[in-house]
Amino acid sequence: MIEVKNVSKTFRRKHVLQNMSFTANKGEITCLIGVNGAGKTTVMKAIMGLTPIHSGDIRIDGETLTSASYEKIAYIPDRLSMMPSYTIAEAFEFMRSFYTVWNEARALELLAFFQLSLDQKIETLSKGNTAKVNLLLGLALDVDYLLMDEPFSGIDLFSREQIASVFTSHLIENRGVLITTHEIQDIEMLIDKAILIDDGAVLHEMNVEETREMEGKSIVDVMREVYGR
Amino acid sequence: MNVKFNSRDPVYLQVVQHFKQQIAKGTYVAGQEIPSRRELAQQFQINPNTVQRAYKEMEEQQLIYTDGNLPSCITKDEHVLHNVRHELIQEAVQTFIQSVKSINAPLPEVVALIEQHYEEEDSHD
Amino acid sequence: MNYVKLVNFEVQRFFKLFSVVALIIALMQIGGAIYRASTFETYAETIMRQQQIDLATFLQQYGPLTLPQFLTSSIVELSIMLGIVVIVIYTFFIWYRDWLGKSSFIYRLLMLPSTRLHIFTAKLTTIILFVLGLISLQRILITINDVIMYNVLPAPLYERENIAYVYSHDVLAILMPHTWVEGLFIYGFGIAAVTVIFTAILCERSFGLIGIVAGIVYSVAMLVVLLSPTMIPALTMMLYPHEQYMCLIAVAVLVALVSSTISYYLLTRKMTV
Repeated sequence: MIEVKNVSKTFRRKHVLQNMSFTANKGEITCLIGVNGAGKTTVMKAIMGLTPIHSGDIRIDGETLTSASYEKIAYIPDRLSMMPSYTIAEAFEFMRSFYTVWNEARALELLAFFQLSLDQKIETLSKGNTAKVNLLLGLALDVDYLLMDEPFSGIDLFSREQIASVFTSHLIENRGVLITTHEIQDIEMLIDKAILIDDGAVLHEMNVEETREMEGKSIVDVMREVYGR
Repeated sequence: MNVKFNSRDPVYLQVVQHFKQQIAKGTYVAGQEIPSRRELAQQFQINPNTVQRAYKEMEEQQLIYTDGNLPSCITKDEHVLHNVRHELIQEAVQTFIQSVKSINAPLPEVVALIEQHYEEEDSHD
Repeated sequence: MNYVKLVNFEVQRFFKLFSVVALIIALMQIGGAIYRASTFETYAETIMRQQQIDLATFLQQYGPLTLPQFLTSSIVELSIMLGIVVIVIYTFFIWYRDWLGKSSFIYRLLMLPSTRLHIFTAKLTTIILFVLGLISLQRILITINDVIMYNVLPAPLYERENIAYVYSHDVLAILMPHTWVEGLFIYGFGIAAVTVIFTAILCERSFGLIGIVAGIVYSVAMLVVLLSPTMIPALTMMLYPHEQYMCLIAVAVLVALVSSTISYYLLTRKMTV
C-alpha cells in the first residue's frame, strides 16, 4: 500500500500540497483526478523522492523510500526519461544493466504489442510512439507499484486505446497502479478508486463501483458536485 | 461482441446482466466455458476487479461454477437457466407495462400494436 | 557495480565531444608545429640574406628554435585554453543536460536503485577522466611536435632538448607536475574545485534563484579556504615548501569531502526534477 499522510509542500510561497492524505492499494488502479496545477504530478514526484516535502509522511508498504525502493515502485513521468539518442535496444540494455527487476521478456512482448522494433532510434519516433517507449520502460520493470503521470495526454486516439488496454491486461495484474489524469473519460471504466484533488488538497476519495451502486452516480457526477461546476 | 456500459450503474451488475442476456439468447449454453476474468476485462475494457466481482456474483446466483483452477463454466442446472430467461422476459414486460400504463394506453390497442410490430421486427432481421 | 556502470555510461556520453576537442587540439598543434618550423627556416634564411651573416652568427645572435618556444606560442596556448574552456563548460553541462536536454534523463538517474552518491561520483570521475585524457593528449603532442620540428628543420636551427627539461617550463609544469607532492596538490585542488562547482550546481537545482546565490557564496568561501594555507603568514613563513603543499592538499581533501557530503544531502533530500 502506498500511504500519503498529511503531506504539505510549499513552492515559491505557493502551497502546492496542503495536508494531502490518501492511500493506493496493491491490486487496484487508483486515479488522481484534478485540473493541471492541482498537485497531481507533485505528489507523485514526492512519493518517488523526486521533490522534497515540508511535512507529512509517505510510506510504501510501511517503509519510507530508499534507493532500494526503486526496484519495488516505478514512476512513468509524462515525458521521456531515456537518452533520446539511444535505440530501443540500447535503452533496454541500460535498463537491464541497472535494474535486477527488469523483465526482458515482458519488454519484448510490449514492444510487439506497440508495434515498435528494437533498432528504432528513440529520437526518430513520433510523439505517440515516444510515449509508448516511455510507458514500456516502466511497465517492463517487475515492481509492485506503478505510478503513471498522464499516460494519455497528447496521444492520438488509436494509441490511447492501445495504452488503455494495458490497464486490463496481465501487465498490471496484482500490481498497485496510481495514475493521474485530467480527462477521466479515457479510464472511467478501468479504475477502482478515484481521488479528486484541487489546490494541493484531497477533496473527495471514492470507490467508483461502490459509488455507482450506493448512490447511482458516475465519477463525472461526483466531480460536478465536488468541484461545483 | 462489444458491450456499451453506462457509467452510473454498477458495472459488475451490467456484466451479470450481459451474461443473462447471452444465456437467454442461447449464445451461452449449459456447461459452456466462459472467458477468464482477464480476457473479459480486456474484451470489454473494464476493470479486472469489477469482472472478478461480477463472476463472484454469478457464482452466488449459481449462474456459473468454477472447479478448482479450471475455467468457469455456465451452470448445467436447467432450472436456473430457464429462470434466467423467464426473469429477463418478466423484467422487459414489467418495464414495458409501466411505460404504456403511464400514458393510459388501453390493453387491446397495445396488444394489437405489439403483434403487428413484433412481426415487422422479425421480418427486418 | 552501479558506480562503474554509471562512469561507463557518462564516458560514452562525452566521448564524441572529447574526440572532437582532442582532434581540434591535435590539428592546431601539429599544424602549428609544421607552420612554425617552416616559417622559422624562411625567417632564418631571410635574416641571413639581409644581414649577410652565416648560420653560426645567426644562431649566436638569434638562437635556434626550441620546443618550449613553440609550446608557449599563441597557437598552443589557444589550443590548451580551448581544452580548459570545454572542460569548464562540460562541468556544468554534465548536470544540466540531464534536466534541460531533449529528454528528462534526470528522472531515470535519480530513480536508479543505487545510492545517489554514485551519480555524483560518476560525473566527477568523468570530469577527471576528461582532464587526464587531455593531459595525456598533450604529452603525446609534445613528443609529436618535437619529432615534427626535428624533421622539418635542419639540425642546427632546431635545438632538441631533453623532454624532462621541456616540462620544467612554467605553463607545462602545471600540466605535468614534476614532484608527486606538487602533482597531488594540483590534482587535489582541481578535484576539489570541481566538487565545489558541482555543489553550487546542485544548490541551484534544489533551491532555484536562492540556490544560485548560495552556490556562488559557497564557491567563493571554498576558494578562500582552498587558498588559505598560502594566505596565513604563520604558515607561509614557518613551513618548508613541501610542507606548505601538504597543507594545501589537506585543505583540498577537506573541501572535496565537505562538498561531496553537501551534494549527497542535496541529491537525496532537496532535489527537485
